Amino acid sequence: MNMMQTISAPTPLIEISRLSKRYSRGETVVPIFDDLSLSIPCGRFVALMGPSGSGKTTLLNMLAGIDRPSGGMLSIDGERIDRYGEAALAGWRARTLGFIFQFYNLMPMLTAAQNVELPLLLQPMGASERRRRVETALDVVGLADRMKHRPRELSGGQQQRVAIARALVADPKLILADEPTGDLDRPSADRVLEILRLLSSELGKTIVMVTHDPVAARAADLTLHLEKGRFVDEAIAA
Amino acid sequence: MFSHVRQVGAVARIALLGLPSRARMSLAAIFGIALATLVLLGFLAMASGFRSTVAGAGSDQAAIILAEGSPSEFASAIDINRLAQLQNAPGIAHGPGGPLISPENFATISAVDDQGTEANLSLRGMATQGLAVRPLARLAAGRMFAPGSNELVVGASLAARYRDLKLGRSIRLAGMAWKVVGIFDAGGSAAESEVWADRTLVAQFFGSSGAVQSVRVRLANAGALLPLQRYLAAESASKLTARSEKDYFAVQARNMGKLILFIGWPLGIAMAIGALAGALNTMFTSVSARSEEIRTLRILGYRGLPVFLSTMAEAIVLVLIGCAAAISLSLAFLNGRSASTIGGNLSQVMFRFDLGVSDILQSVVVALVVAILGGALPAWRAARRPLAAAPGA
Ligand SMILES: Nc1ncnc2c1ncn2[C@@H]1O[C@H](COP(=O)(O)OP(=O)(O)O)[C@@H](O)[C@H]1O
Ligand SMILES: [Mg+2]
Repeated sequence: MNMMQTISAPTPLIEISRLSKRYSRGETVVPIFDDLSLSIPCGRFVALMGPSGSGKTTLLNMLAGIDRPSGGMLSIDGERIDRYGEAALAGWRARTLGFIFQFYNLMPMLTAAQNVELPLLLQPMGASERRRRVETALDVVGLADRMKHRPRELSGGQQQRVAIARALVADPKLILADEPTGDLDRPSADRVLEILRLLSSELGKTIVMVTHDPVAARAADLTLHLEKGRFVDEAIAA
Repeated sequence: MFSHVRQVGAVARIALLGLPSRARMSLAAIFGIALATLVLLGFLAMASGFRSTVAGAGSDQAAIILAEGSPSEFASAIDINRLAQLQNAPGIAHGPGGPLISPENFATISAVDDQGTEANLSLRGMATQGLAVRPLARLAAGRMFAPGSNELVVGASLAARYRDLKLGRSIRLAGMAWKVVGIFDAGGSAAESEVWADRTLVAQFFGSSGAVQSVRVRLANAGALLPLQRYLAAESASKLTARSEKDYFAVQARNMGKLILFIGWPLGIAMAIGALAGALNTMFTSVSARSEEIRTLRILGYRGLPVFLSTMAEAIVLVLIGCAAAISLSLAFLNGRSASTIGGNLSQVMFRFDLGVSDILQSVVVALVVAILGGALPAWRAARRPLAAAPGA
């Protein structure tokens, strides 16, 4: 049975069709998904929920080209990334993707500005243009006055906002976030969600955010529930 | 292209900025390579120093006559009855007292140096002509020993280090006191590491009176060697050969240098292999400490190659720090320092550690090989590790 779950909109940024993923651990093969189909239009902010172990991170990793599908089709912004090799995927990520981690993953020895600059070093771009972009990105997340600070001089919430600046600085179409508020207190989490909301509504970014937190999910345009390798939503037609 | 260089720069910068947080492992690698480099440099400096000390010991105005087939003075024996015939040999310079010929033999004596350690030294029995036949030697102080008397003339580098061998002092050898009456200088060469005395006394008190080991002659001019060689070759009795002093010492130096390097290189390589194991360990630890950082960069779109190169850069920087430390230490504490060795043919010889540019370059090359071998596997691992972290990792 092919459950094509369409989110009504003309131009899908993410298209998944009959996607399957299995891990093999020695003799045993662990199936994660069998037949997953999904289409997410441009500019949509999607929350991905589900019990632990349901495959949320696995799905997100495949969308990021970090992990490979075992079968099926995966197209993002018209590119069949399931067919790309490592080097092509790295180039594609640099052009198309911003990634936000649960534990921020900043380089501790670099300042906020240097951390945010990292994705720009992959672009053919002069130093002054890079500086301008870094300032703008840090301004968007409200940390323009923390450029020279190192991660350990910042709170968890501030670090995650630096990470968001890093994810948006190269102006990617797609932002993926794996439990971005999972490690934050409520006020910091709300601030992060507010910024993600802004990226979606003002800058038109497509966002897929894995979360356990129903409050966080409410910031999104819609929520997908993953359970035992399937979407269980009726709400998906929203 | 530009962005590739920038990628490498950015990743290498992160790797190097992170070095202090991995200080302990990094220091272990630095220490290992420093130690290996130090040992290698020590041997290279010893070989160079030895070569220049010994090679400088000979002149082409003098010749050494040995029994045919003897590789060195020490392995040669010339019947004492052959000496008379040498008096008439062509090519030999004449002094006031007749032809400048010095039949010579060796004994080993022991003396106590200024630090109180006893060492074996070469005692050379010679004629009083012995000084005059040696173009490169001169009296620095005192006088030559008197014929038939128990007096010594000591090489300057020995006199400087042995308390019993200073001018005016006496030393007990073979049951009697010998007085130091002169100091000779041979330009710091290996020839200076000798004590001279009258050959007839040396033969009498230290044995071997039936033969001499070599005959040193002063040549009339540099071209006089050939007639002398022809004359000796024409003799029907057990043959003698003549070589210029310069040639003789050059061969000795080459052999000795080879011997030192023959020991030094395998030891240096063994230490370098130890350092390589240390470097591999450090780099694997570094790569695993950096694994999250590397994973993050690759998820941001950095490629495998910059990650590989940055890890190599870290290995090279660590190794070069260790190598530079060893080079500085050797230049500061080893280079120019004198030492002595008890080497097969040359008994105890004073020489200086002499660290040349080529020695330093060789050690840097060895260190770089260690860096490349020690960095490549961990770097490759880092660049190729799957990005999808297994759960719980
Ligand atoms: N690299 C892997 N190797 C083997 N099994 C894996 C790997 N990654 C994930 N899994 C398994 O896949 C399932 C889904 O994991 P994951 O996507 O991390 O779930 P979630 O993020 O929803 O908690 C889990 O049972 C997990 O053990
Ligand atoms: Mg997860």
